[in-house]
Order: sequence, then C-alpha cells, then structure tokens
Amino acid sequence: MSKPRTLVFVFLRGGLDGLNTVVPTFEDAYHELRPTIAIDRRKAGETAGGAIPLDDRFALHEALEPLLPAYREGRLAVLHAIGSDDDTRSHFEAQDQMEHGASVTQPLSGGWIARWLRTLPGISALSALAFGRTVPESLRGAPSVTAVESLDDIRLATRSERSGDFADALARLYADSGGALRRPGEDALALLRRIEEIRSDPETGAAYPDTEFAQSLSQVARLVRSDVGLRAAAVNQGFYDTHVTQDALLGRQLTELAGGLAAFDTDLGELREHVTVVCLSEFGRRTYENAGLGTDHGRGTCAFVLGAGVRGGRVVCDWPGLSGEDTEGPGDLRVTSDYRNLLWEALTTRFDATYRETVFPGLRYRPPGVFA
Amino acid sequence: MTRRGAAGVTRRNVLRAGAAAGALGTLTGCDAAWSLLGPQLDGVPDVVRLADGVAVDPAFHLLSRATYGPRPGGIERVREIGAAAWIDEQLAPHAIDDSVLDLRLAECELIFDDPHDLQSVDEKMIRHQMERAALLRAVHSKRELQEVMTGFWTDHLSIDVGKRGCLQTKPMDERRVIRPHALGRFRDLIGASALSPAMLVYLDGRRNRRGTPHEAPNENYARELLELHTLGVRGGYAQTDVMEAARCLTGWTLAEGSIKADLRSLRALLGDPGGDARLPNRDAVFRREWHDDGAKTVLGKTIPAGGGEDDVAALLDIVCAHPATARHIAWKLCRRLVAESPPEDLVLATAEVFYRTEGDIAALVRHVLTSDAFRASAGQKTKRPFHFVVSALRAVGAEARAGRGELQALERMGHVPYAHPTPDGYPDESEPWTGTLLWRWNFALALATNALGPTKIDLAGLALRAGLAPGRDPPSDLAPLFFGRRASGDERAAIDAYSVSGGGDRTAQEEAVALLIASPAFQVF
Repeated sequence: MSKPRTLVFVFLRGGLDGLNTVVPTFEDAYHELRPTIAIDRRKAGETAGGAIPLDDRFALHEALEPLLPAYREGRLAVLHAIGSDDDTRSHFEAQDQMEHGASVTQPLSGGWIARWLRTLPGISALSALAFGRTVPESLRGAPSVTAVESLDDIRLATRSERSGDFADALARLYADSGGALRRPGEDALALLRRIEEIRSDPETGAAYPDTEFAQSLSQVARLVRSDVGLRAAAVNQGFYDTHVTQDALLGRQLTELAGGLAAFDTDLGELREHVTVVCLSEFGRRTYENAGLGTDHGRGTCAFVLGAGVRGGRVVCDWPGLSGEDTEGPGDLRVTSDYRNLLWEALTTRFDATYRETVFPGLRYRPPGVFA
Repeated sequence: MTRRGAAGVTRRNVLRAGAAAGALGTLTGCDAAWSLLGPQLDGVPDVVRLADGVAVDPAFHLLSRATYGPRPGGIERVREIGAAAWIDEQLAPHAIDDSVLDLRLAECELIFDDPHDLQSVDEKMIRHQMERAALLRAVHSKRELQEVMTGFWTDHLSIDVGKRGCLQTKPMDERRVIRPHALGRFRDLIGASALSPAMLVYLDGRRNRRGTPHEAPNENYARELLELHTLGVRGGYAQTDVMEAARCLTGWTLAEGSIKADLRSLRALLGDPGGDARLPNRDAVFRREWHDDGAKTVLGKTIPAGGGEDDVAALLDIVCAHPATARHIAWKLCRRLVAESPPEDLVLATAEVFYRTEGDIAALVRHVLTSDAFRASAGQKTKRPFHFVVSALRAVGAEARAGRGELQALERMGHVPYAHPTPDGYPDESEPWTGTLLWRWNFALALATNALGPTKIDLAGLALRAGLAPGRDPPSDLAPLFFGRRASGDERAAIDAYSVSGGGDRTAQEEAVALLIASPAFQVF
C-alpha cells in the first residue's frame, strides 16, 4: 500500500480575529478602529514586540513566530478576508455550515470531509480520525470514523490480558474463511499490529508543547509515519471567542496553535510531502474594538494552509478594506473568498478529488491559487 | 409534558393495562417496564433447539434476511408453521401484538412528538432518543419483517437529520410515511413522502415556487424523486422531465405562521438572531400563488393546465407507474434481500410483480422471499454495521437497552441511524463497510463480556437452555445460534483453543463466544 496523503483539518473554534492575527498594518483605519488593541508593525532591527512583517501590507501576530520559518520557506500560506456566507454571526450556525461544507443557498447535512471520503475506495478502519469524545460534524457520515482521545483507544478490548491471543484466533478464522472478508480481516489485524508498534516507537525528538492540541498532532504524525491509511484527521484548537481583554486571550490561543503546528511540521520531516494542514475558523470579528477591550462576532477572517504543494510565503486575498462602506453589517470585514474554494482546491490538487458536486454541490469554483 | 399525540395516549393505555393486570404492581415508569421484561434472556424459550447441519439451516436463512437476525428458538417457529405461513404472518404486521415494544419505547417518547412539540427540545436529546428507538425496534419488535422493510425505505427515502429542521420532522416522517407504508402500496408511500414536512425540508421542496425571470423552480426534490425514489438514474428521463416535475410540485410548502411566536422567543433565549430554523407544522400546505398552473409534460405524458394542487398526484401516478420504476424498485429490493448482484431473471420477475400488482410491496417481498434464488443465497451478503450490531444482540437474547455502547459502536462504524450525509441513503454494498471489522470485533467483545453498559446478556443461561453444560461443553457448540449451522473443524479449532489456552474460566469462555460473533461467518448472512 503506497502511503496515502493525509488532510489535517484544524478547526479554530470560537471566531478567530483575523485582523489581529494577520494584521493589515497598512490600513490607517485599522489603528483608528482599534485604538487600544491594535498591534503595530515590528520595526526593522527589533526582535520582539509588534507584529512581524510578512509583506508590505500584512504582519503576523508575534505569538505565531514559530510558524515564520515555514512561511519563509514557502510551505505556509495565509488567506485573508475568507469565510462563509452565513451572516447569523452565531457560533453554532456558522460552525455547522462550515463543517458541512454548506452555504446559505446550499444547505447540507453531514460533513464535507465525510462526503469526500465516501467517494474513495480502500477505506480502512483508520482512514478518518477525530480527536475528542465525539465525531465532529465535518466527519459525520464518513465510512468508518474513529473518535479517540488517544491512540491507546485503538486496541482489541479483551477483558483478559490476551488481546494477542484473540488476534491470533481471529487471524485463523479469517484466513480459513477464504471469502471476501479474508482480506479486510487481514488488513484490520495488520493495522492493530502497527498501532502496537507505534505505541512503542521511539520519540522523534520533536518538541511538542504539553497541550491537548499538540499531543493530538503528535499522534497524527505517528499515524502518518506508520502507514495505517490515514486520509483525514479533524482536530479542534482553541476557543477564539475574544469578547473581552482580547490581547491576552488571543495571544494564548495563537501560542498554542503555533507551538503545535511548528512541532508537527518539524516532526513530519520528510513526510511533509504527504500532509496538508488547513486551519479555518467559523467567522472573524468586528473591525472595531468594544468597551471590554475585545471584539464581537464578525464575518471575514484569515485562514492558514501548511504543507507540501502549498504555494506559500504569501498572503492571498482580495482585500475589501476597513472603511465604513467597505464593511458589512455593523462593521465587519467582508468575506471576499468563499472558504469552500480553499477546501476544494486542497482536495482537488492534493488529493485527486474529482466529484465536486458530491462534496461541495452548487459551488461555483474559483480556485484561490494557494496550491500548486 | 402536556402535549401528546395519539400514540402517546396508546402507550399510556398499555402501561395502565399492564398495571391493572398486576404485572407492574406499584412500580411506575420505566423501572417497572424493565423489571417486567425480566433480567437477561429476552424472549428466549426454555428449550432452545440448535440447528445441527453443516450447511446453513433454511429457516435460519429466512430469518437472517426477513428479520434483523434469528433469535434463539426462532427457527422452530418457522419450522412449525412453514416458511410461507411465517412470511404471511409477518406481512400482516397489524395482527401481531407488539405492546411489549411499546413499553420499551417509553424511554424514547420524543419520537412520538410532532415538529412543533419538538421545537423547544434539546436537539441532542431528540437525536439520542431517535437512535435508541431505531435500535430498540430492530432488536425487539415482533413485527420483524416490517422493521426490516422500514429500514429499507428509510434508506430509499433517506433524510439526514443533521440538516436544519429535519431532526424535528423526521420522527413524524417515520410514523406517517415510512412505517405505515413499508409493506403497503408503493404509490402511497411516495405520495406520503412527497408531502412529508421532513422531505419538504430535506430536499428543499418548501422553497419550490413558480419560476420568474430571475428564479427557476427548485429542482432538488424533483431530481431525487426521479433519480433515487422512482425511475432510477438510468431510468430514461431527461433534464426536461426533472424541470417539468419541479413545476408540478411548485407551491407545496410548509405552514409556519402558528409557531412563529414561539420560535421568536426561543431564538431570543438562545441569543440567536435568525437563521433558517423555522419548523413546520404537521402538514404541508398548498400556496396557490406559488404554483405554476400551466400545462406540463412529464415522461411524454401531458398534465393539463389548471390542475393546481392535483398536479402532484398526476405527477406521482406517472412516475410510479413507469416501467423503469418497477425495475428499479425490484432491483433494489432483490439486492437488499437476496444478493449484491441479484440474478437478472429474479429482478425481471419481481419487476413483473410490481407492474402487475401496481406496486404492492407485500407482494414483492413475498415473491422474493419464496424464490429459488433466495433459497440459494445463504451467506452471500455482508451485514452492514447496524445489522451486525442488532443481529448480535438478538442472537444471544440480550436484554438490549440501546445505550452508549451500542450507539458508540454504530458511530465508529459510520452507521448511525438517520445520518447518511447524502440523499441516496446508506450504501447496501459491502465494499464501503469493509473498514469496520476492528470495531465489530470490539463490539463482540463488549457484548460477550457484559461490558456494554445497561445491556446485559446471560450466556450461561442461554447455553443451559440450548442443552449445553456451561463450562464443560466447548464454546463452539453455541455456533448454530450465530451461524445457523455447526461450527466447522477450523472454526472449532480456533475458538475452543482460545478458551482452553485461557484456562477455560468464565472470561475465556465469554471471549470465545466473542470470537463467534467476531468471526467471518457472523459478518455474512
């Protein structure tokens, strides 16, 4: 079995403030709208403080500095003013829509990752993995999906200490059966053996922070390394609902994100060419700060893609502007890039997906051009 | 709870009747129900005769397909009255007393509620009760063939409750559309489905209105009606037929007025400014001003102008009577009941029955189950995960409670009821499910070692009733309960050796039974 490529979908739940994450420092309006919480561009020669310039317009929140090497090496791209057409500004509605791969005119049920996986042959017990107690909406309806809190959950759960003997007995039964189930049985047993080996794999030396997010990514890396046929993993990160004292909250969340992703990127090493990471949030936040030194639910935000095949080192956007008439509703960054275009470009360029009407029915596809 | 439909009243009457008979004594509610239903061997006769052939017993085969799996002692009833009589009995579900199931469903009473009753109920709770009820019915209903066919039509007219508004309407769809017509007339089934609020929400029929220069009618339902529900994708219809069918259906939508006030306060409570969560009332309504009342031509037949709300009946008459529909439904039914690639002559003959009886589903089912091709097809199909879980619970006479253990297994295997993400329903083929073996094995272990939470089994008691000596006779002697035949030499060697090498203690024996449930012979049927 040749190693399949793996999609890692990181859902940044809570509504990521794209404007303080990838900061449009060239916009005078940005500083006027956010007199207290605006972040200045880091000045030449300084090594700390401010946002780190990415190009002559945008600068990166300093908590994301661990991702800077990947950006400079062209493996990380930023998309800005991206989002969905859901304008309820409700976490629940907007997250559902994004996990379903839906739009207001194309309401859908079941996850977009699930619909894609259903078009693939050769699905194994570990083709789709989610970290947590339950299967997230993005994977709901997938053929065989495993929600685990850790890889330790993947074992033959004998009451006795004889899971090895149990596996041996199954091997005999399935080998003798000679029917259509012989091969799937052997595959499942081989997978169990691989997982056992992984459990005792030596550490790779990648320094994962001690966060749930980073530990999840470390297990994804182990699975990618061990040829268990992992096609998609869904991981949640953070809670970005920064209504008050945004500065501290956002920094902490982004530190966790960058720490996890940077360690994952290092850990994968040569396996990077098999993995594509997409980080999305359900919506962005208002252009202006509120009285609590935070920001309220908005519309457009920024997204990240990391991995081989990414035409990185760029901030890709059709910038809508921040002045009154350029914004939407109560003063929100307009969405100029449909999130589904990003997801479909990832699937079709990196994962040979072909059934667009199945995965994103009704999408008028306009590739954002972040994948080669 | 003050608002209850007729079904709720019926259930309470059942409970009262039970109490009056003294069976429930002073106990109330579900505690009473469960104590009444006995501890661990659900419906298992005192003496269970095991099939003793080397090939699958014919009665076992019939029960494997016409029910969600044979129960201990089940084959004797078939032998006693004969397969044909057993089938006829099952084809008249209303004559079968199913009141014990009603008691069990008391824990899932939201499934008896109408959409407007469910609008303020926590969605997770509705979903949980629907999933539990689907399992409880499949395991425990005495109307076994009706349940199998309810499952078939639930896939055929699939509605994913994950789409907004479907969760609250699907229970009513199952009550009013799927189950009552599961063995009835195909035309009635499609007629009920076409105007079912759940379907009007799921396939956007409620948004379908007369075309304007700016907006065409919504074709979503019309397309699936032709492609999935009736003629089939190669049924010989054209895009113009889809568009004309959509015109016939314009104007059928959902009444929302009576519940808007409730919803507004609910939204305010949840801090939700809007969205698309309006829930329909019980019945579809016809909005004449949305209807395109011109003449239409569907599949070469003309529906004259001015038909108004009768257009839908004219349309459904045409598509249900089309020969491609007879062929499509016959093929799907043969695939479900006989083999993944059913013999062509069986499909043709079944389509013939469909045509002759104008879509009498019971006649189709009888034809298929009494055919030679059916009799020759034992073991040719692979169980889908839901069937696997339910058939395992049934095979051991489990006191199945449909708790977290069962539901988590279904979730891991991608086969949660009412959750297929596209309108084509969960696939019937085996290939998409081959990645689920690991989770089947773990379910087998959890079931056999009594680790499924509230669901309990009594393997020793079961063995005794089957005339075996628990602890002395080898575990593989129980194979006929699962395979419908004796274990082969290879199977015996693998299973009994596992028990012996584990010291033959209770755990070793239970895990050996798990091997029976996990073995390839129990994955097929």
